[in-house]
Amino acid sequence: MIMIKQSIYIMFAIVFCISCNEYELQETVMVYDTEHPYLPEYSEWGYNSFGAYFDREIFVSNTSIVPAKVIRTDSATTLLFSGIKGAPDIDLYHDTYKTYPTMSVAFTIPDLKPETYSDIAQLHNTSFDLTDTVYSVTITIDSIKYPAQILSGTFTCKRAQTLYVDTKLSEIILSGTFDFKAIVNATPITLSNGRYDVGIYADNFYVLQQY
Amino acid sequence: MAFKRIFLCILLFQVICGYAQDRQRQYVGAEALFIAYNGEVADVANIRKSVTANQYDYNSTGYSLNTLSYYTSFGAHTEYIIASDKMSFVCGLRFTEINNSIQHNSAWTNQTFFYYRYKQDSTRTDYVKVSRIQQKTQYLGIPLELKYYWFRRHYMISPYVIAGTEIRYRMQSSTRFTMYESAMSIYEQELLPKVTKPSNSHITFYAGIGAKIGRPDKPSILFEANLPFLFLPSTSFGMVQPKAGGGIRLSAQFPLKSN
Repeated sequence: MIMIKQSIYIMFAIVFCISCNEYELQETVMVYDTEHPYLPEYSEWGYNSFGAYFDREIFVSNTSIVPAKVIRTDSATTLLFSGIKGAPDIDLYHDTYKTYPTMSVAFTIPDLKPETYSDIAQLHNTSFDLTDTVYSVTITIDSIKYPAQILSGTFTCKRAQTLYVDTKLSEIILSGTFDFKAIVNATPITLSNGRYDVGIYADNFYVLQQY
Repeated sequence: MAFKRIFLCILLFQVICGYAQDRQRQYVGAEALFIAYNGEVADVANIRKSVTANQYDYNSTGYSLNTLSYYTSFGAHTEYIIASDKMSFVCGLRFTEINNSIQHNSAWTNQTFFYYRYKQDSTRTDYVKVSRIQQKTQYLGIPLELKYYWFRRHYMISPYVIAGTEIRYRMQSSTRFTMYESAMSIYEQELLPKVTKPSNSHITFYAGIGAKIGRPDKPSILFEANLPFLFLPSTSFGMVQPKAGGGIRLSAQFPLKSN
């Protein structure tokens, strides 16, 4: 009986220790761009923020939604940016009452197959021409997925840094830009001035059969 | 170099005060001063922001840091009464120690450290979790002051206002990192060069109001509220720059020469 209790305590301790990662680094720090007041400024600190103009609206990271996820399947890897969209005169980042529609943009890259989250560092200093048909972009608004027919645009990872905290591997910081013009649901749209600065770690890296 | 500065200060002190052989009244005294001030962290280039910031938020910088800044001074001075016994000129020699520290503001979270970037290349970045950075600097200074007494002579209590300036020369400075993980203290030497050192010298301007308790020809005690308001250069204090502060000065004086 005592051995069983000890085993349970040890199991809880192990589970607790596994989840003792740098959660302070996983929170979003929004530092607004002085030139584009409701977008975050471009940074390379792993502030877990992104933003872009969606036509005249703002598509931006939010306090309640994990801003970036990496999903790897057998055929490709998807970089998924999730946030909300709304009018540019409202501070969307603080929308805790969920009054605005959720939105995500997924960039699927077939020739990227990281085994672990640390392998995502191979994106350092890379750029993808989104008009190339091997790449695909999907926009999801309020859980409805819309494949985007790309007319022009690029996705760039300016910097991928392997971050160590107190000499322990913590996360990969991806920082870069994106913009494109596309036909979505028979309507031309433009996503412009897109920038991101996100951390990829064990908890937001997924390996799935299909996505 | 420190000895040269001490010699220069003593020589300057003698030159400035030596002309007062024919003044009306003269006092010598010892003093102690304590000033606390509100500071702004100047060294943020390697510190990771931790709160959302825009011009409408309470924190417009994104850094959630607390500073603790104060200095203590001990010195000796000579006061020369001039101009109808209501005005006096003070000069002296003062030893000052300035203490600055930076730590994370834990008012809103349980976080008791901040991330400090100590190494970076194009593909790798290293942070260390720092609980506190402390910087201690010692100066030797020459204060020069003008005092105005509202009333003197037979009154026991003589209120006064004072304006002064002090030239300080840096003797020694030390910086210390307290790491969140004690095992990381071996990296402290790599971090020290990244912290801004105080300038070799600076000038401070201050004003105050106080009261002298004692008869003009007897030993007396002085209490004073002291407000430094300008530091030149403005970046002279190292990792924390002073914004506003105030404190108290306590002095004991003995008459040296009277009419």
